[in-house]
Amino acid sequence: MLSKRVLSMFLVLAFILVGIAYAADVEVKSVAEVEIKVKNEKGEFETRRIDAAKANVGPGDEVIFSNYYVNNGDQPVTDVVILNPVPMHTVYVDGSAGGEFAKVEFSVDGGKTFGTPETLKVKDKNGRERIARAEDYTHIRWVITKPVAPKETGVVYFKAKIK
Amino acid sequence: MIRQIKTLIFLLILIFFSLQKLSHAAGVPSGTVITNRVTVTYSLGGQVLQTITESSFVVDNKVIVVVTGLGNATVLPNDKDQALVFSLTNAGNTPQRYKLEAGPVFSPENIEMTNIRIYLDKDNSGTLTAGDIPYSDPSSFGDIKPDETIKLLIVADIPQDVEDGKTSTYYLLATTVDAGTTNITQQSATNTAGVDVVFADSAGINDIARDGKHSASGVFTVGSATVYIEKDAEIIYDPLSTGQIKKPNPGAILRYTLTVTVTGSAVAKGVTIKDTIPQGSEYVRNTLRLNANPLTDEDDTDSGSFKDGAIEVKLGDLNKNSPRQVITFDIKIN
Repeated sequence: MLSKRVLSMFLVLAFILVGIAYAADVEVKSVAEVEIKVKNEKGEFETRRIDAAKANVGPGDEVIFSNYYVNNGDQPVTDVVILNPVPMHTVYVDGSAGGEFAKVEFSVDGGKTFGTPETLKVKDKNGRERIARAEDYTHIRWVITKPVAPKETGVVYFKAKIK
Repeated sequence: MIRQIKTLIFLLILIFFSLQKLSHAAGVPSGTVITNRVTVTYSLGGQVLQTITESSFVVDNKVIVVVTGLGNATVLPNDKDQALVFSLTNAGNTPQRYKLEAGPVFSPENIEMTNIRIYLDKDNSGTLTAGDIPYSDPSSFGDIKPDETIKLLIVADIPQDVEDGKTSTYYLLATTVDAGTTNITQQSATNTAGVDVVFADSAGINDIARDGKHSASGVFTVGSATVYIEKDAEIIYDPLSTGQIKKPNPGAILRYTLTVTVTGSAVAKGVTIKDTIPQGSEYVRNTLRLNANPLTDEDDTDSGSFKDGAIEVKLGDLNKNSPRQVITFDIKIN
């Protein structure tokens, strides 16, 4: 009995150690920003982005979420998929998701299945099926369509509106 | 039976969801932490690996207050406790209190009312009633929750000498106050990582946009009505007369004509004309007429009667556009 427990603990420890050795290869950083209009030196209005934590963000405001990823390892990585649940208290802004070399898909069933907008269906309150709308999306994911080389960086992004 | 149950359930769900929608209209409460969690999975050396990151920010206080004028008042000279009705809504995402002020909107034509007060219209009657709560400072009505609306009254007394048709416009101004305090809410000077205050209100009748205030106005209109009665008398029979000239000799019959008109901007409600038969004469029975239509002397379903030595005719509500009402009746001189 005791040796079985020791063995499973050892395996868990070994897995963590192995995990640590590889987990640092791809790093991701998520940034939330809002766009503000400021007057430049010429007196013209231009849009700038500032950190949401440092800006005024209230109900109805749009926040730009940018996920920056980098391959810090010395080997290319493949099948990169970035998964981002639509944050609680926000609604996805239709058509706002994008990123280079990324195929964007959404889920309306809590992340179980994904598809492109025209394939997503939900049931309305009468039980009738209809095409899902932005406010029905529960998750966004970007499937990176090519391997990510060592030191290569990329960014995927979307907008969400505070409820 | 099943169909009815299904319909009932559907209706209940519909009501539930529409109520849900209402309760979230003011938005996410201030202080709520919005967290974004990103998971990246990838393949390396035949293994599937994962890395996760999270970032957060705090939802700020978006101050929006809306004051709306809901009803004007038509008043009479010397009336007391006349009310203008307003609603105040906290359309922001944080509980707040409000400092309230009422004042005349200046114009040369504006007549000034007296004894101006502000009340919470607790029973939603649109008038000052016993249960209504007087305003003395921002703590009077407590904290107002996001999406909550309260009804307010500007109450005034009307001076004695005011002309029919004259108006008096008053504004109600609400200034946002921090919940639980009497401190006027200040917009944050700098943006912090915590809850900042942002003014997002519109301009009202007596305030500007994004100042944490809102105002609206209502109008008192003096609406009086005056009833005029013109009385004429014509001798229609004189037993002692031989020709054209008739005199009020004993036995003579006089026909009285009362012409009733109304002036002013208001409706004179329930106009009733009563005329006592003069001493030394008696009413000639069944001669009472209204607009040439005979009225019975008995106090019955028609609008006229003769009792206690007087004729009485009920004319109902009249205004300046009503046709002239003509009452006639005859008396016989004793």
